[in-house]
Amino acid sequence: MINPDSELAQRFWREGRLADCPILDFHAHMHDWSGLFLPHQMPEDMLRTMDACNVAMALFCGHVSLSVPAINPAGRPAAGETKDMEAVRRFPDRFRAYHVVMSNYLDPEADLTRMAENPELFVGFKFHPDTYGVPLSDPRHEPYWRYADERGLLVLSHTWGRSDQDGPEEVEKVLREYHHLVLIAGHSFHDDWERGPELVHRYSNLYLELTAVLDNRGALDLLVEKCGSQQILFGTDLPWFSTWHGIGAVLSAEMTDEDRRNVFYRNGEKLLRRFPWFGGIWSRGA
Amino acid sequence: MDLQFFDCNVSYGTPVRPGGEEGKPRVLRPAPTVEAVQEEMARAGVAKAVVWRVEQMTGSTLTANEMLADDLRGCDQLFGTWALLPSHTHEIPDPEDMPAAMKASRIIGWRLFPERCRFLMKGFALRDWLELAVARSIPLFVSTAHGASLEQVADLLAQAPELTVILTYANEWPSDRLLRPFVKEFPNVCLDMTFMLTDGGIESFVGEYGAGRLLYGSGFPACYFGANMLMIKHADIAEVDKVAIATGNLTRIVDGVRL
Repeated sequence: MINPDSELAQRFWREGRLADCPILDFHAHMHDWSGLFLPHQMPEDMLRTMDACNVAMALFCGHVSLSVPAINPAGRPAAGETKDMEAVRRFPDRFRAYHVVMSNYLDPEADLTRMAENPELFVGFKFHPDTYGVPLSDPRHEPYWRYADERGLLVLSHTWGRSDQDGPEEVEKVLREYHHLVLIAGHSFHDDWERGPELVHRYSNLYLELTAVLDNRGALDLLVEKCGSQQILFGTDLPWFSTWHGIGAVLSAEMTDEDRRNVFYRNGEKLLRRFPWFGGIWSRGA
Repeated sequence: MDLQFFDCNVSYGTPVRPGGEEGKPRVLRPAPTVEAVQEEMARAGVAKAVVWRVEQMTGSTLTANEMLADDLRGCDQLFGTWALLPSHTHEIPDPEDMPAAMKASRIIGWRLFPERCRFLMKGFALRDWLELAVARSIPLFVSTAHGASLEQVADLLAQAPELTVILTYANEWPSDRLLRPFVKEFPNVCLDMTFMLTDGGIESFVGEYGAGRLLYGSGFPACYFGANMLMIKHADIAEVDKVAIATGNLTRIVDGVRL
């Protein structure tokens, strides 16, 4: 039963997937990674989960894109981006990619050309400052920020509460400068549950994302209490973490079903409406 | 009939540092009393649980063992685990007295806190307890969050391969490479699913090893009861396997304890 106060919880418990409550996953990956055994690492396997839970679309950056810089000869699509683009082309109604910003091997000319040539494949960029050891506000990133800001794209960054690379201070440096892009704080500044809501109050283009937040009982409850549910996005790191687990946590947290719908799909729908390809997909699926 | 849940990993109590231990994740919404646990179990629909008190680890082990026993008096849905110490110092009941003391107090197993309770998790330090555990099928609940490394667990199991161990690997990163060898090698190792959140992980594991070695665990109050419940409820496995994971396997272990 999970939560007797939530009609959504009772329906998810009984039915598993709800046609009137689709899910948009704003933080996914794909393919293999050295540190993990992932049974569902291929897009076909991820789709099985997505179908079972009614995840309408997942926005992802593949592990190969994020972690294999050696096969990225200048001027040519990197192997990882090639894989990611291929997955989107194969399943255009279900996946869109974040183009990686590989901070130690930047090639803005090639990367931004690839973005410009494939606007239907990418929603924006993915930063991972803690992994690369390069702060989010590093001047070398500026071409990417400018590109995203001029076009109102989505930028997902790994964020962690006490990080010098992608903590609240670094994120705020970017937000002070760029007001048209949408900055998605992956993991919602994990462990520093106060600062995310503070920043949300000040910056309407900041969204908090829930991957790895949902295994902490009370964290989502606190975020919603402090800043409401309208700038919070669902995410799971799929194929890392079970989508069912994430849904179950949202259904367990202290918030209303209207808040849950905001988190599961309403906020995401509003963001994705900026892309011309989204309306048709959404009307077919939702 | 709907799925029943028997949780293998629930704690409560009042830690010395409400903000959490240095370097460890904060418990944002602690459950100070056994009544708070029962209230949340009822809300989530969890039927039974194996519980321990945080003071067993962070406070006074002996007193907290007794407090736990007091708390559980009359609680038909809860079972306790006592913190174990080497018998050499005679602080807890000696091995020959332990089964009767456990039986009188709804205690069905032991927990190890080697770091905070400052003892070696080695076979020679715990030999009499290991022998008693194997002889009486008493489960040992071991969590890597409590100062026990997987290497130490492996050493212990090498000394007592028939030991029943409920193993909590306290890291939500997908960990099958670390955990599957324990299941393959040792017949009575079961995995607490508190941190086993991998997408497709249940299906993959059950396909390889069957459903008999996975136990529903929530990690409450640090984690929600309902998150893992929904994951098991809708796993793409047979209903009989879901029943085993949700409640059957832990019931078998608890019923098998001979005190």
